[in-house]
Amino acid sequence: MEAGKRFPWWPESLKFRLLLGLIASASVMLLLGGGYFDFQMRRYLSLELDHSLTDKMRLIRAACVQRGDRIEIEIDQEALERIHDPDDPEYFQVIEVASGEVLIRSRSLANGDLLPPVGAGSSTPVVETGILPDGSQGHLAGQVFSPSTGEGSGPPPQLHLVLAHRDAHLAEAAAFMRRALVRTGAAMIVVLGMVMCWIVYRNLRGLNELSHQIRSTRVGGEFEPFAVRTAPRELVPVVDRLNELMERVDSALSNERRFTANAAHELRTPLSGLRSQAENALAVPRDSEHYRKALRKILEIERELEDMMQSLLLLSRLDAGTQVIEWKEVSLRDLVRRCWKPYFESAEEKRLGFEFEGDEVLEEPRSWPVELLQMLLHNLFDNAVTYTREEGKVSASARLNATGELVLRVTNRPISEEARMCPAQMFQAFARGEMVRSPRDRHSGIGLALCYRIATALGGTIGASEVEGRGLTVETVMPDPAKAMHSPDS
Amino acid sequence: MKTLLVEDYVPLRISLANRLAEGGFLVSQSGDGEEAAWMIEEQEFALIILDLMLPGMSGLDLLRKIRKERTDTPVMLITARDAVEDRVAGLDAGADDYLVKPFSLDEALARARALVRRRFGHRDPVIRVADLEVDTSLRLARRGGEAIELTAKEFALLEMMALRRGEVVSRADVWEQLYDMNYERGASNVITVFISNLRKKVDLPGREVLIHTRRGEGYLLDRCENGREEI
Repeated sequence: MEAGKRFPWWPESLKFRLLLGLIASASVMLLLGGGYFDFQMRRYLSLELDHSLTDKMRLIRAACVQRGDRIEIEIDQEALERIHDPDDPEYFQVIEVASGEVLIRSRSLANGDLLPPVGAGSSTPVVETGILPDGSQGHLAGQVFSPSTGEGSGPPPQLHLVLAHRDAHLAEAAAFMRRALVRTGAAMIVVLGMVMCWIVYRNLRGLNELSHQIRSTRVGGEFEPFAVRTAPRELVPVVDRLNELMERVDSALSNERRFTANAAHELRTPLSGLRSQAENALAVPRDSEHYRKALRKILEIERELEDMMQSLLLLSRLDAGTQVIEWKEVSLRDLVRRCWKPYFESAEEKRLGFEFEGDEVLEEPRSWPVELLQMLLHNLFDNAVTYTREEGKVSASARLNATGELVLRVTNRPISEEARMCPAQMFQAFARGEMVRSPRDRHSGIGLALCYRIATALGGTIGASEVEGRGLTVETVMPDPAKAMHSPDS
Repeated sequence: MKTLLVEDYVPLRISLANRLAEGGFLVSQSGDGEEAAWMIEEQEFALIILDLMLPGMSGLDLLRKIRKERTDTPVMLITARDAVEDRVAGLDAGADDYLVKPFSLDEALARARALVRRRFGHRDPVIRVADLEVDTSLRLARRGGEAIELTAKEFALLEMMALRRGEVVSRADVWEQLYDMNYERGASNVITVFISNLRKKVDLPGREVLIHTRRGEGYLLDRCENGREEI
């Protein structure tokens, strides 16, 4: 699911998403970093305090001396000042373990208060946090030790030293550090936000430019290739591909417009003929023979229009892939002869020769897509007869090649000047639209385009080649009819 | 008026030619661009009606050729191409009018008449010379309000002289514009006879003489012999 749908507050703009993401990530990183720093700082201060306590314990321990049956503490002024700060006094006590007698205690322990017995029974210093007798939170360190002995002393007693210090200063230092961290973090987030804004805006400029150009592109209008001056390397193939696709769309739209204009043109001319025949007949009273002639002409034009409509419809159905391909058993040789028949008279008129060569196997009835093959052959013959010079020759051949494909060839020679055009254009609808017509040409201009669509619909290919002196050959290769008939497309 | 109709679609060409002929035009036809170019080189036409898609030479190329060689012959394009760019291309190539197929024959005829009128500097379809009125659209002539009975050829001659009012119309012009030289053969005095008949019908006794003869030059239609007096 898209983030925007799941989270309505999620911005739609890529710029804001990036900014929000980057700033949120930076904030989390700073928060985690700050938290970790704060934790480490507090731990460090705490350890420092503990270290200071153990250090002071060592001083007190060293200062305890047994002289005879007395325990004395010999501490110089400097050491005492280190232990006893009047502004932030230490708490300490020394108790004889065996008798429980308090041998010494600090002045800060008033009214006979005692520190908790931290480290009782441990010969190594034990550090703990706890509540001090005045109710404040503090660090306590304790240890059991034996004092050094003077001359004539007996075995030294076990003494329990407990030393404590309030951690109010520690908490204050930690709070100060935390405030400093929060202020620094907030300032860093603001600065980072600004820097990120600049980076994001600067680096998305190419994308913005492209987006603006795409938005202002009008489909159907004249296409201006997209050009992004500040396109990052990742965007260059996108822009190139987009330009390529837009050029193809532009070309397809132009072709569509040209096709529609040409189709309208080809329909309007006979319509004009129909209208003029009727208007002419009705302009003034005329004899019945005149009306008969006009009606015959109208019928002739109507047939012409009907043929053109059929061709356009078939072209449209083939384009849409909705043409039903019907298979019937016929002899291909008979089919070719049948298709040639309507052109026999025109060929005779131009004194054109015609020959057909076909594999013997094609004489036997086989399943063929008869309707489409007929349309294909009609159009090929029509073009061949129209565009062959007088006393020329039209030849057709049909063979099955080694892979069982049907190869249909129609060759005409010599070809008229009007027929000379680029073979690649030949199969485009109305390719002759912009050119002069042939003197005999009342063709719609979609015959070869239809042939192309038919060949493609049957899973085959069609191509044209012109060889000097050998005329123009249109070759259609179609898959093995037996296989094509059972293919899913069929 | 002699008109060349160039259209390769035979049914339309024949119908339009018939209608133009019924409208008083002498129509020469061609279905081929190259043939039409040759005809234009050889003959003088008052109007050329031209299809754009032609065998031999495209209508647009032919139009450019006409404009290069003859700048004053009005050309009307008839084509099925109705896109703005096609119209612009046609008009920019020098066409005077552009008619999109399918069109009404009456409209084509009216436009043809208007183009011919404009060529001779007339906007009103009724040309007046003194009390003579020549209505080129209804194909009627009146003198002093009374209709004059004229044959088609006589009206065509009167119309030609009225359109070129004050100008001398040579016998060769009359012959070329009113007779199809391919089919019509006449005696050398046929134009004299024609003019004489027309004069009898137009310049009735007691009326101002409007048809004048310029010896060795031809004929003119105007109020006075020198043709300079205005109505």
